Amino acid sequence: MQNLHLVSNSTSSNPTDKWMANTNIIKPEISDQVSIGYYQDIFNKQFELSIETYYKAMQNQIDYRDGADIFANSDAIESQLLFGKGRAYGIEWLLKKKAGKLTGWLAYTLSKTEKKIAGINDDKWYNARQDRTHEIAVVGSYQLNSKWTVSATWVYYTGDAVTFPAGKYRVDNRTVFYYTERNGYRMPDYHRLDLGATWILKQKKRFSSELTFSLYNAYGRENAYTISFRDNKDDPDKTEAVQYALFRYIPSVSYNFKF
Amino acid sequence: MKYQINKMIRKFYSRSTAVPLSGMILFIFLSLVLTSCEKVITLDLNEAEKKYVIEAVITDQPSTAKVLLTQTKNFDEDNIFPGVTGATVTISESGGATTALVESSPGVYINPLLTGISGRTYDLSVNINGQVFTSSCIMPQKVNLDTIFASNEFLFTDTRKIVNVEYKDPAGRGNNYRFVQYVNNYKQEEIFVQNDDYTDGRNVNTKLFFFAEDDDTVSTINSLDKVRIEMLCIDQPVYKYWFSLARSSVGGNQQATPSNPVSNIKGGALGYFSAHTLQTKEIVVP
Repeated sequence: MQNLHLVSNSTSSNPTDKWMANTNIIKPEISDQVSIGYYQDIFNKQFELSIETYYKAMQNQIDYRDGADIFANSDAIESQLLFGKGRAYGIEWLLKKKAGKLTGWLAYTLSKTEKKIAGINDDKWYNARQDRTHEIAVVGSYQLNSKWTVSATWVYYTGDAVTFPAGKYRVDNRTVFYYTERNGYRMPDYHRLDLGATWILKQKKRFSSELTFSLYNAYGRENAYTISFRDNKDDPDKTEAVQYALFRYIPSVSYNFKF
Repeated sequence: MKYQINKMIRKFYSRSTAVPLSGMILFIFLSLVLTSCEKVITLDLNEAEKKYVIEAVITDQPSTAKVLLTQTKNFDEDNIFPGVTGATVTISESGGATTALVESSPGVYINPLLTGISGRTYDLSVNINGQVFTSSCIMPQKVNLDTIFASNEFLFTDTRKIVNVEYKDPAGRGNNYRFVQYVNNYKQEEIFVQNDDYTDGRNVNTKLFFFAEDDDTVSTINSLDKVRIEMLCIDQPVYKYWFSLARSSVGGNQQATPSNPVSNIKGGALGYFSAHTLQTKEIVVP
């Protein structure tokens, strides 16, 4: 049971989430979940392997109705919402190396999260914005010597499910986009590599300090933050999709101490 | 108008001279972060099944009845929408005569003799190669556009000329209006629609605020501009069409859930059928 509700936009040009509390109209979200898992230590307990599968049925799910406008109506947001049910299921694999100079894990999740709400998507099941078909994480850390440790993290996941125009037409002398289904398209896949190195400066009983160097998004992948659609400025006979990306490389240095 | 916030903030930062420090930091942050990584991309958008688009209008003025037939196109095609030819188009008055509209140019169907009367119901029928689309619309009572005038309005950092329209809403809820603004004969892009939910039976003054896109022909109204306002009294489903069109598919950047406007056409076509009264007033901005 959950009394806070996440309401996500389905447009690709304005990825805004809103958190709502219960009201007399917005009922608490209820979910029932079953999961089966298997864990085993392998290779002299150097590795741990786990597999888990789950199915979750959700009630009182909420989403914006078609054409909802959260800026125009600062009053009751309830009038912009519709209510229905949801389901999520998937399988997770995790292989973890716990001992030795090289530690880390490899995780893969295959999953599906959908909603079915009367009045949205012709009352058929559709992807929740947060639905991620594939999600991979590779995390490794290697101890070079007593002073230096280096690490790397690579993450990959399927892009958010969003609503893109399926076509366009002309009404009243303006180009209007034509939509066929809710969240029927995907943002581009997201992936990123982070690198890090830790240099232990001092390690005493009372005081220890270290310097950490890191590079976020090491290969400078331009992960899409928003995608919007417009008429081409130079050639109004064309329409174009424009992608905005946030942070490329972000280097950082930090100094940590414990006492 | 509040949904224009993004645009107004952009305008605010681009024009103001004395911006507080926090504003400057935000501006620098946003311009670095948002504009530096903008690029045009190619998306693999499914080819949607083509749909017919119907724009059908009948008014209380002569020579204005017109039906435009076009089709949807894929996103990556050009913006030239050829008309759909060879359709059979009729508009009939409920319990009255049925009038055929004649194709005057490809996709444009007209009949100069067809004029509507307030209070009557009109039925549209469009037959394209055996596919039939229908709609029904009531032509509302005419509400007089009493006066139009320009006023100076302070918006964020500058004063702009905005056109005011004044009319007396008749008693009883359910009156819906649409205004179309032409500046020096160029049609201004903004969709102005209004109902009487909060103004029933009152004298109404509406300021036609607009925020032009970069590529709009009309960006501001200046002295000596010739402004023409069309006032359309529309019925509720047509109001809903324009309201949802303004909120959703046009521009497509402000709303939470992009979707098609609510159409009053049955049979699976996009577009609308509007029976409305039409009144025009013109001024030269002082």
